Amino acid sequence: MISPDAPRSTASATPVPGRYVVVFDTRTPAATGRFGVRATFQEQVPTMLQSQGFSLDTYFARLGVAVVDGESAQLAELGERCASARMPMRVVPELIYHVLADDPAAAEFHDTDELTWGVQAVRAMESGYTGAGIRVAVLDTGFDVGHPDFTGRDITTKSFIAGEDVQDMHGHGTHCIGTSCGPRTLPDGRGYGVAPEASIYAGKVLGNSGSGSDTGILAGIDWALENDCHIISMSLGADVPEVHPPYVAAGNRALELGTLIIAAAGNNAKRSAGDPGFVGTPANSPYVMAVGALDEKLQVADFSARTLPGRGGQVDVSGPGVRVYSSWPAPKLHNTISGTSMATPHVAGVAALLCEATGFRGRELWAELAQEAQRLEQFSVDVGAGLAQAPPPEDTEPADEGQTCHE
Amino acid sequence: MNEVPGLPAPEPVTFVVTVSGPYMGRVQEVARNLQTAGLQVDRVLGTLGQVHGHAEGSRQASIAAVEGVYSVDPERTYRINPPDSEIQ
Repeated sequence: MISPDAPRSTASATPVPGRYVVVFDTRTPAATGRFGVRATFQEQVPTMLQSQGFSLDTYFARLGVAVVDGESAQLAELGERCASARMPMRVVPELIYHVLADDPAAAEFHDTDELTWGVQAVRAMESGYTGAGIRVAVLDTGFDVGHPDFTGRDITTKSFIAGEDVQDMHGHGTHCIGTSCGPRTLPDGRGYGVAPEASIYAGKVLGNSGSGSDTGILAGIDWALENDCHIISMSLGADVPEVHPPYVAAGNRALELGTLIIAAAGNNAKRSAGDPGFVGTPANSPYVMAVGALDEKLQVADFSARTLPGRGGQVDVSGPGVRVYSSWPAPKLHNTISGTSMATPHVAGVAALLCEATGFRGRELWAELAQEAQRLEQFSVDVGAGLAQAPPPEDTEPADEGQTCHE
Repeated sequence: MNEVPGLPAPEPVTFVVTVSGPYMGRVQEVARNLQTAGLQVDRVLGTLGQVHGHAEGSRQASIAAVEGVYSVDPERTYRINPPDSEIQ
C-alpha cells in the first residue's frame, strides 16, 4: 500500500491538508512503434487520473505532475492502480512555501550606486562620525595627490623612498587611503571611505614597483609618531612567520605614545585548497593589530591568513576585504581589488571614528575596536573578534542622570 | 671570518638597531657609540628609538654589544603584488 509521504513541517514549508502532488515517472520507453508498446505516456496519465475521479485542472502534462484534491485512501488506491498498470509514480502532500524571515546572520552585502558594501558593513554612515580631527597615517606606495575626490582635504605627505616622490605610480596606496579616509558621499559616484574627514598622512614607504624595506617603513612610523597620528595603517608584510624585533619595539613604542598600528594579516592562505596561511611580519608582532579579510557574506576570504601560534600572531579583528572599490591613480581614478590590504584600511577608518567618538587612543582604542566588533560564527583564529564596527550614533548613548564628573 | 685577499670586499648589510628602554632619551648618544663600533649610521629615529645603518655582516655582534642597544637585526624587504593583480 502506498501511503502519501508526510514531510516534516519546516519554517519554510507547511503541508496543505487534502491536497496532494502526484509525480509520474516521465522517463520514456525504450522504443516506440514496436509491437506491444504501451499507449504513450501523454494519453495514459490523464486517463488514469480521470478514471479515479481526479480533476485534470492542475495536471501539468509536460512535467508529468498533477496536483489533486483527495483523501489519503483515494490516493492510496490511485497508487495501487498505477502500480498494476506499471505506471511508476509517487504522492506527496502539497506544500505551501514561505519567504524566509530576514536573518541578519545570513546577510549578504552589495555595492550600491551610493556606497560600497564594505563601508555599509562597518556601519560608518549610520555612526554619524567622520573622523574629523583624527590623524590617520597610511604607510604604503604613496598617494595620487591630484585625485579629484580629495580636493580640499587635509593631506600631509612624505616619501621615504630614495629617488621617488610621494606620487603613487602603483595604485595600492591610493586605494588604501581611499578606503580609510576617502569620500563617503559623492555627487556623481559611489562613496567608498570610512572616515571622510580624517586628516591624511600619506607616507611612501613602498616604491612605485611595490617593494620597500624596514628602514623606510620604520622611518615612516617614526614620522607618523612625530606628527602625533592617532592611527597608523600598514597594508604590507612579508610571508615570514618569525616575529621581527624592530616592529615589536615600534608597536610597543607607538602604544606608549597613544598611537595604534594596524597591519594586514597577510594573503598567503588558499583555504579552498586546505592552506590557512599564517600571519606574517609585522602584523604578527605582539603590539601590532592584525586584520583579516571578509567577503560580502562576512565569511573569511579564501586568501586571508590564519592566526600564527605564538604571542602576537593572532588575527585580532576583520574587515571587508573582497572586491573593494576605492580610489586609484589617474586616469583610472577608481578600482576594485581584494586583499587583507583592503580590510586593514576599513579597520583603520573605523578606529578613526571610534577615536572621534570616545577619545580613546592606543591600548584603549584597541580594546574598543575588539569590544565593538560584530561577533561572527567563525573561528577566532580566522576572524579575531569579528567584523569591525563604527560607533553607534551619538544620541543612542545612555543619558547621564544629573551632574556627572568627567575625568 | 677572514677576508680572502684578491676578492672584492663583502657587501655591507643594512642593520636596524633598536635602542633599549632606559636609553630612549639618549638615542643620539647611542648612535655615536654605534658609529665608533663600526656602523655607518644612515638614519636616527629619535621618537621610535632606532638607529639605521650599514656595516659588514661580520660586525653584527660588536654592534649589538654597544651600550644601550636592545637588538640588531638585518633589514628585511617587503613586496606587494603588481597593480593589475586581483588580490593585493
